[in-house]
Amino acid sequence: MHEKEILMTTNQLPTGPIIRIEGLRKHFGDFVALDGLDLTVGPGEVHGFLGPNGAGKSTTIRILLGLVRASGGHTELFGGDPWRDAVELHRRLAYVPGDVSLWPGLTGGECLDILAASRGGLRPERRAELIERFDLDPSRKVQGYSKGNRQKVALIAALAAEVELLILDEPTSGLDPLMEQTFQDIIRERRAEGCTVLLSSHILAEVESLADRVSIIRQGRTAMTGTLAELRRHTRTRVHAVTRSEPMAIRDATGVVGFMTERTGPLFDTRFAVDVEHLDGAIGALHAAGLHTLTATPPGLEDLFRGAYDDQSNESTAQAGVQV
Amino acid sequence: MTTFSQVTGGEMLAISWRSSRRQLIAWTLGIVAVFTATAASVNSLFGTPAELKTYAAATTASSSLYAINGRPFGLDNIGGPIAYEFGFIGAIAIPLMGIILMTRMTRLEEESGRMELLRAGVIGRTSALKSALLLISAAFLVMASGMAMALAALGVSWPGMVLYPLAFGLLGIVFAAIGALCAQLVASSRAVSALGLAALVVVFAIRGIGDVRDNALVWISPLGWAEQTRGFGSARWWPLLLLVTAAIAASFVALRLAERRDLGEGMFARRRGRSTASRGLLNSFGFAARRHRNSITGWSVIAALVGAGFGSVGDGFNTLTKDNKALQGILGGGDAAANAFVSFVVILIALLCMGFVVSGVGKASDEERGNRLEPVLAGALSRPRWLAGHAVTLVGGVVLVALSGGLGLGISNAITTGDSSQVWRLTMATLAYLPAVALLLGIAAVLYGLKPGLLWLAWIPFVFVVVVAVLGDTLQLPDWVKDISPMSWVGRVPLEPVSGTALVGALVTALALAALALRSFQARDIPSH
Repeated sequence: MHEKEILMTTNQLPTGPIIRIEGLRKHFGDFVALDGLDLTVGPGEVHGFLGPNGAGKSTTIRILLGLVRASGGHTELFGGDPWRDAVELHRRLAYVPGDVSLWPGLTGGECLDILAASRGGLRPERRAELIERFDLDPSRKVQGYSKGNRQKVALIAALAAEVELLILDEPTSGLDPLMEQTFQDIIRERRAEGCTVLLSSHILAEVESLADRVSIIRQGRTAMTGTLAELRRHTRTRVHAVTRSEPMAIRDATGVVGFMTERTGPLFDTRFAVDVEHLDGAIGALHAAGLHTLTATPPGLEDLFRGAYDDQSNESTAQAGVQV
Repeated sequence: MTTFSQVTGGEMLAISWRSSRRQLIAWTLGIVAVFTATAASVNSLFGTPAELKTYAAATTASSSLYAINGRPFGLDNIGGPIAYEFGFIGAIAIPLMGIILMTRMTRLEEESGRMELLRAGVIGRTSALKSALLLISAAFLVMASGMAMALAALGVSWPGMVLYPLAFGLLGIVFAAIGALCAQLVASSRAVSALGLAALVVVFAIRGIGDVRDNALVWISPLGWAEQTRGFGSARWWPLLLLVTAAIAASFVALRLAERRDLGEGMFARRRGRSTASRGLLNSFGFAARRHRNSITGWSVIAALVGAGFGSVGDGFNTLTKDNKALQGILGGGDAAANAFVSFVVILIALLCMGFVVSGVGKASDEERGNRLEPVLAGALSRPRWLAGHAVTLVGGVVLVALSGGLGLGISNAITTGDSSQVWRLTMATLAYLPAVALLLGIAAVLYGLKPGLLWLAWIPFVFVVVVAVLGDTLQLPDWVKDISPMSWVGRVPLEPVSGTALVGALVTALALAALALRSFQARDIPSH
């Protein structure tokens, strides 16, 4: 009954959001975990879900999975109610938790199949392909597995399934850089096939290279959301320049913070950060001072992150940026 | 160097105490309380020399019950009956306390990953084991002092007042050391408890056979050493040396093994297995069956051993009381006495079934506590299906445990009596308690459904049922208290006819509890907070 309803609504509105959360609240006793969180994930997008420990990322995901019941607000998954329609909705998604626990006494391959079977199976040829790509030994008992190997089991079970949505909660914790690369490749392949991905992560480089849009949450609320280009508009570019004369004109230019310059031999070594819209003027001033070398680093997620966490301390943000 | 290890040892001792003090105190107080109640009750029942004489005559009429209670010594003073009445529960509960506490304080800590954090600090390889041995030994000595005080209060004199509790205290320490040894051999905490329990069943059976036949077998079992101190008869202190030696030897071997093995590993290398899951593992019922398979096998074997072991002993009554009119008067005739013994074995098997279901719900709850339930429910498996998988497995499993026990008892009784109808009669008698067992399963399920953290409360009704069943008469519990136990609803099978209404009542209550468990499980957060 429910299943039909949901299928109909998504068929009618193929461009409607896959996940729509508005004003989501959740409290455990008197502890407020989520306090009016908003999150919208459209079809086919890879959505980065960022926030510090305890911000409420995992709680949000558990509510989306119908494991935890929301205290208030609106939550919609594939147009259905994640609590009421849990089982029907879960046939269309796959989930990888951040801390994978497996069944002692069973092998990795057996655990993989159990996880996959719980959502209705997987494509065997993909299973074999992913075991190969992730370099997993499925015949070993899981007690001997490292954290990375446990993570691989859950990843393969999820990525080998035929689903419309992947919910990944810090999925690569414990993977080595090589496997991290494999993971990113596979996510891109799935996206090309039209799969939607909600990617909660601490690894900013991973989100930066995969995500179309990003939501940053903090203390149970959405602090920022948008495409990376939109978010970067509010941040600064870090500049490191070596000039022949001292570029003092920049010190008081608008949009410049954290200006530092020192003499190294005949040259002047200068670092500062500048608002994106004032970059042009600052580079002009550097040019006037006789440019020797120039490095301009566009704002990364680290900067977005810091910006969202403490808006007040812009100075220190820029200072910290200089170190990179 | 010495100072350093002393400091770290102290740190670990404090950590162990903080994390396990509740269990240490609860076990110690619980056993002292049950012993005090037993002793006081026996004293009021058999306080006079005439009463003691009757008691002695009834007790020594047949040696069959020695298999369970141990051989009585000193029945001419009140200490003897106290020791005999407490014999069974003491010989089971005190070793269990050692095994369970040791498992908890060593392997469980290691399994949970907490030990890895501690060991990365200044905590040494054997610190946890040493502090567990120390704390548990101290708990047993406190327990022994408590028992001694209870005996002193009843006017029991030296040396029994000290020797008898001390023997039990040292027995407990021996089993704590055996538990420590098991904890080095196998890697999962459940396997440690199972191994320890198996060791207890074996030494209990050896002591039982030795006591009935009155031969040297008793000297193979630590339970025999404790018993042979004969605290209230012709007291002897030297068997205590055997207990002390065994405790030191087992501890020494355990410590040596702990020095050598890897954190989180046992002594046996891991085998490889299948790289794909078999079809049976891929549905919720097959999967639950696999999770509970080992424990169903283990409990069934124990039930079969208990049934078969005691079933062959029961016939002693018939032959002994046949020609003795006076004893028939006391025991109510040969058949009745044999039946009373057999019905007690049936009760023991039913209690094993209850232990199985409560620990089985614990195993299901471990899935959630171990974060293994979330990813499965995030699939298309519904909560009711998951819960049903475990419930059906446990119900099927407990039928197997009861059948193993009932058939073991029935067959061995049929062989010794030459009456083949006993197989059917005793198997049916054992199965008659299953609705009462289902009721306890229902209680455990409701507690888990509400919150996994509440599940331990299910052991309270379990302990209550055990006390009513094993010590109800000795403690002179009022009828209304005994009637709370669902086993009393069913009646004493096969002595009395089974009450049909009681069976239906217990089953209906169990089903209602199951429905409540499902409701609360569906309404709550997973993992629960």
